[in-house]
Order: sequence, then structure tokens, then C-alpha cells
Amino acid sequence: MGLVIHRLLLLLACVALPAIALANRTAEAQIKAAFLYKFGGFVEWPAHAFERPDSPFTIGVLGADAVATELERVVPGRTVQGRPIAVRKVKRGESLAGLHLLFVGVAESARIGEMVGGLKGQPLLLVTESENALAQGSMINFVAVEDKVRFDVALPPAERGQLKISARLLAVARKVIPG
Amino acid sequence: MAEKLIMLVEDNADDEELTLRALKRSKIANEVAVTRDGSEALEFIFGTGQHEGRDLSRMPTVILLDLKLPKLGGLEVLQRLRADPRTRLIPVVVLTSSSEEEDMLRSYRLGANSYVRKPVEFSTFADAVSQLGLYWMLLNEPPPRF
Amino acid sequence: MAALVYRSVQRKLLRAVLLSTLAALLVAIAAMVAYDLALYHRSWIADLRTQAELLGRSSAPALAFDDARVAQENLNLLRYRQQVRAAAIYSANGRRFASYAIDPAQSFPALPEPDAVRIDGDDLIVFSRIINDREILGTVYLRAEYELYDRLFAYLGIAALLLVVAMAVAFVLSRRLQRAVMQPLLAIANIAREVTEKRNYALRAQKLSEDEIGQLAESFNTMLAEIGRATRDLEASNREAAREVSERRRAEEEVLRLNAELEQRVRERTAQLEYTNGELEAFCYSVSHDLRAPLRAIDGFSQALLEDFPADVPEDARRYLNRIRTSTLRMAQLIEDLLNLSRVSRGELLHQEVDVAEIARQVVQDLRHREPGRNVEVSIWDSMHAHGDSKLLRVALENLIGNSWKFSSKAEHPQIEIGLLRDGSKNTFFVRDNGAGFDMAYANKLFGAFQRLHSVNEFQGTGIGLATVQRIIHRHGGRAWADAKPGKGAVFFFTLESSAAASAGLRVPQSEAA
Repeated sequence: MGLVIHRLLLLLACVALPAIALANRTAEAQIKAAFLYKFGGFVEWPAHAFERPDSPFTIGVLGADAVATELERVVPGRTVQGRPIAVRKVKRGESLAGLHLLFVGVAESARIGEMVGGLKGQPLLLVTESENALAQGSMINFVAVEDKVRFDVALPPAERGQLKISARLLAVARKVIPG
Repeated sequence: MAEKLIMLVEDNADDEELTLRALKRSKIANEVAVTRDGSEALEFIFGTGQHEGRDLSRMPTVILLDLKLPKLGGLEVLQRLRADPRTRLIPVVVLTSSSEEEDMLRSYRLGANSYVRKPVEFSTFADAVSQLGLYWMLLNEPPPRF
Repeated sequence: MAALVYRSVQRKLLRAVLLSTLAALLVAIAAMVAYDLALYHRSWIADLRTQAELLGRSSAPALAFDDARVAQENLNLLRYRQQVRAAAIYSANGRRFASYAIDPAQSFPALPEPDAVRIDGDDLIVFSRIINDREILGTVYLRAEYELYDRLFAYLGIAALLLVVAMAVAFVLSRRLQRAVMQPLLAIANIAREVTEKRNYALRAQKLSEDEIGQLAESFNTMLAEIGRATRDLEASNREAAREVSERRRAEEEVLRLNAELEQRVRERTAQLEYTNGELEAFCYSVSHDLRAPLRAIDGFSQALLEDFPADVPEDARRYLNRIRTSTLRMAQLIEDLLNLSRVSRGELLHQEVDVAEIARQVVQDLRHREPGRNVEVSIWDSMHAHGDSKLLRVALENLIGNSWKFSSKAEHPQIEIGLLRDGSKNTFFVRDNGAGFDMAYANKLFGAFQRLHSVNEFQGTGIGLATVQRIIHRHGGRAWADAKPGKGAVFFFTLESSAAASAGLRVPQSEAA
């Protein structure tokens, strides 16, 4: 009898785990999406980043469809510093102009260095979810800490992009690389 | 019976004479005793003084009394006469020339029987005397002596 | 008395001061306390609200990025504010995100409330929403000490103490300062008492201060001066009045004395008059008697001569004797008339009901009896009455009717009428005859004594009769007058009071017509 139960449980686990894993993955995307637009509230873009006072805050997503979907779902009605939020799925090689925040998914983590190089001082907040991304020039990088989504912040690239990151954000960051 | 006596008490001599004359002419022949004043009158009546010893049984039948008398006045005499029981009843005629009512009243009060005024006119006077005499001496019944 | 005043006024003053001090203090303390507490309340709430907002803002990233640790760290900073008992941050879905409490057993509300401030027992509770970019991130919950009541009691305690101290100070001070007010007042009261007791209006109060009490002292002094003056004036006028009264009394006594003197004199005069009257009476009496007697003798002896010696008396002698007799009789008549006249003036006037008609009838009867030969027609009116002396009126009528009888002797049909004309209270009687009459020109002489308007040869008479009539009528308060025509007759009028008027109370005045 014990064995049957054991096996049943194992079977259950086999079925459940991927579901759980799927659920976890969805939740993660939701959280990250939320974080993305929330970041907007704690960072200062220079004035020329926006054409008009009512120009939207544009978030670009590269290589993270789940997050993009989530973003698109969650963003309507929300504002960043009083601006409406626009979401753009970015394809490889596309121009980054007009973006204020770019999220590069782990699928395109190899391109991070390239991205950074192409920025050339454009006030763009680069958010990543890959290891060593900060070393490559990312500004904010998601990390998983004890089943929780946390992030690290690197100030120098932000400074280079004329972005000011609020100290309050830094307070909740796991790690901050000072500028 | 002793003769009736008239007593005349009169002080005036003329009047006395005229009265006596009048009586004579009236044929009244009684004796007339004349006294000249009040006190003499009383003396005569009561047989005292100058008339001491008079026969007192012979009282006058009538007394003609004048009021104006010397010494004792006529009213006084009257009073005395009326006070004494011997003389109380004797008729007294007050014969006077006074016409004062007061005298008349007092005379009557004191007990005079008659009051006659002496008029000045003689004939009237004589008439009066005559009538008096006739009445009192003849007609009138004198009170009984006692 | 003054001491009582002093104390009671002082007490009043003291009471006033203390009460006003108390009131002022209470108002001040109450105002300050109220203001302070209100301020505390407002500022504490503001403080906490601010605190909550600060917490909220600082925790916003923690909430946004689900970092409870940071939130907790923020909350733990509240440690430095001992007044904050507990705090919590709720996430957007109402779950308690982070919490802090001094007391580990502190309970937290299950769900957050929208922005609110509440007093919960000793604590103040604040809920503050954390909003970032129009998004409610969560709610901050703060529970802090609310010291309002503690403060209030503390203040009350202080106030009580303060009041006691302040009142004590006020009491002591006012007692000291009262003296400044009371002393002058007491001085005035003392003077007033002295003035009343000693009635000395010369006293004056001292003006010890330059205020209303000083004015009072001045007014008081003025009043005393007035009273003093008024009293002096009153005393003066009293003396004056007393003097007047004694003067008047003296005058009255004088009057009484004079009155008494007067009465005495009147009595004496009356006695004199009575005496004189009496003498006069006696005189008349003796006169009439003594005058008559000789006349009687003259007449009597003349008559006696004629009667007793008829043969011896010649015709002439006879005539002479007759003339002697006539004159004698005339004189007797004169004496009679004079006697009557004098009697009319003397003696009391009797007030009787007089039947004038009856008297007239008797007089006529006498006349007829004396002269039976004369045929005179006499008409006497009925019911003629008058009020007066019947004897005197008889004399008057005897004269009047006698005159008419006499003066109508020459008439063919002698007529005499005696009547009465009524006119209210006055009765006018008349005696009319159709005899000789007289000339009206001599009317004024008619009633004079011894006045005759005819010679003795025409009509005998003494001339006294009418004088007598007039005197009688005058004594009755009436009037007598006549009207005549020579040869036609005469009417003699005289007025007398009617009985009605007499009984109505009209008195006959005793006028003595000479």
C-alpha cells in the first residue's frame, strides 16, 4: 500500500511540477513586469528624453514574450510619473530610439554587450535578468533570491545614460554597484 | 244790729271830700270811717294805735282802698287784711287812679274783691262811687261775722 | 457702627476682588489649556500623519518591490520615537506587509482602513495610504500615545494650584490696597456718625483722596454746610413763629380782655338802662297818679259848685266853671295819651297771635258805647291776623279808629272801613273813613307828637295819638303812612308781619323810633 501511495505521489509530482513550474514562470513574469514599470517611478530621465509632456513612457521588451504579454496586460491605466505607458516588443536589430526602458530577456542575454555599446549615452534604463549582466553594462538586473524576485543595481552605466536612480530604489536593491 | 260801716282809706283830702259827697248824693247814709294812710287804716281795723279801744265787733261792710298811700301802701294793707282771719273776708274795693295793669293784677292776687279806676271827670266818678255804694251796701250779701 | 461698615464694605471689596481674580484666572487658564490641548491634538495628529506619510514614501519601494525587509527596517526606526507604540504596513491587497510594536503582544487590525485618524482609548490611530503614480501601493498603520487626557488632568492640577496661589496673592494684595480706599470712607462714616450723635453740623469730613470718595467727602461737607444753614434758618424761623404765636396770643388775650370789658360795660349800661327804665316807670306811674288827682279835685269841686249851689251860681260863672271843667278833662286826656306814648316805648314787646279784626270790633264797640248817639257805618274785614303785642296794637287801633270816628263826625253818612291788603310776608292794614280828611301837603307833620292839622275847635284831640301809633308800628318793625283828600276822607296804612312770616322765623326788629 505505501508503495502505491509513494508512486501516486510521484506521478502527481510529475504532473504537478511542470504545472507548478509553469505557474511559477507566469508569476515570475508578472512580478518582473510589475517591477519594470515600477522602476519608472524611481528613476529620473533627463528632460530631452520626452518630446512632449504627455509623451508616453515607453518600455521595450526584447526576448521575453511572457513579460511583454504581462506588461501589455497590466499597463493600461497605469502611469509612470504621470505619463501613460507604452509597451513595445523589440526585435533583434531594431532601433532603440524612443525607448525609455528596455528589458532584455535571458534569451537575448548574449546581446547585452552589444546593446550597451549601441546606447551611446541615450537615456535608456537597461534592465536584464541574466547573470553578469551588470558587468556587461546593464543597470538593473533581476535575480532570484529565496523564491523571490530581487534585483541588483549598477549606478555607473545609469550615470552614463544621464539617469538618476532614486536612493529609495537602491534601498530595496540587493546589491548596488556605486558610481 | 249795728249800722253798716263803710271804711274809706284815702290820703287825698279832695278825693275824700268828693267821695263823701258822692256817697251822700247817692243817698247812702251809712257811717263812713276815713283813714288817711295805710298804717292808720290797720290801726283802725285792728283797734290799735290811735284807734285803741275801738269796738272790733263792728267791722266795715266794705273797705274802699286807695293804693297810693303814705306810710304803708294800699297793697300792703290789703295783704295784712287778708292775712288776719278777722278781716280776711271783708270785701275790699280797690279804688285808685292808677291804670297800671300791674297794680290791678297784684290787687286781685292779694285778694281784692273789686278794682275800680278813679276817673278824672267828676260825674263819672260820682257815678262810680254811687254804684259801688249801692252794690256793696245794699245788694251784696256781706260775709257772716264770726 | 462705623466698624461694622468698615468690615462689611471691606468684605464686599475683598469678595469682589477675589471673585474677579478667580474669574479672570479661570478664563485665562481655560483658554490657555484649551488652546494648548487643541494645538497638541492638531500637531500630534499632523506629526503622526507626517510620520505615516514619511513611512509610506520610504516604504513605497519596499512595497513596490515586495521587500518586506526594507519595510521592516523602516518601521524599526520608529524605535526612536517612544510615543509610537506600534506601526504596520499593509500591502495593496490588505495583507500585513511589515509591523512593529513596542509591546510584543500588540494586536494589529486585520484590514487597513482608508485614510483615517481615530482615537482608540489612550491611543491615536492613523491610517495613511501609500500612493505612487496614482497607484495604491499599500497603507501605513500607526498607533501612538494620545496624551490629551493626561495633559488635561495635569493642567487641571496645575490650574488648581495656580488658582490657590493666585487667590492667596490676590487676597493679601487686596487687603493691603483696600486700605487706600477704606480709610477715606471710614473717615467720612465716622464724621457722619459724630454729626448725627452730637447734632453738630459744624463738623467737616477730611478729603483724604482725589477720587470719588474725595468727591463724596466734598459733597458731604457741602451738605453739612447746607443742613447747618437750614437748621439755623429753621431755628430762626421757629423763633420767629414762636414770637408770632406769643404775639398773637397776647393780641387774643387783649381781644378777650376788651371783649370782657365791653361786656362789662354793656352789662353796666343795661343795668343803668334798666334802672333808668325802672325809674322812668315809677316816674310815669306816680306822675299819672299824682297829676290826675288834682285834676279830679278841680273837676269835682267845680261840679259840686254847680250842683250844690245852683241858685247862687250866675250864668257866666256857670260858663266859666264849665270851661274850667273842659280844660281839666283835656289835661286828663293829655296825661293819658302821654302815659300811653311812654308806655309804648318801654316794656317788652310781646310776640302773640293777634286777631286784629276782633280788636277792631271791640274798639268800635267801646266807641259806640261811649257815644251811642252816633250812627257810623263800620265794616271790618274778616280774618285779619298779625304777629305782635296785642295790648299795643289795641292802643294803635284805638287811636286810628278813634280818629276816624272823630273826624267823620261832620260827614253825612260816616263810614269807616278797616281792612287788610295781603302781600307775601307783609300785611298792610288800613283804616279808612270818609270824614274830614286833611291836606297832603302837611302829611309829614302828621305823625309828629303834638302836631295837629285841625284846630281844637274843629276836632278835639291832643295830637299825640298818631305819634303813639307810629311808635307802636315801628316797634313792630312796620311802617305807617296816610293818604287823604280834604273833605273826602283819609286812609291810614300800617304794615305788620303776618303770622306766617313770623312762624317762618323772621324776627320783629326792635327799632326804637323816636
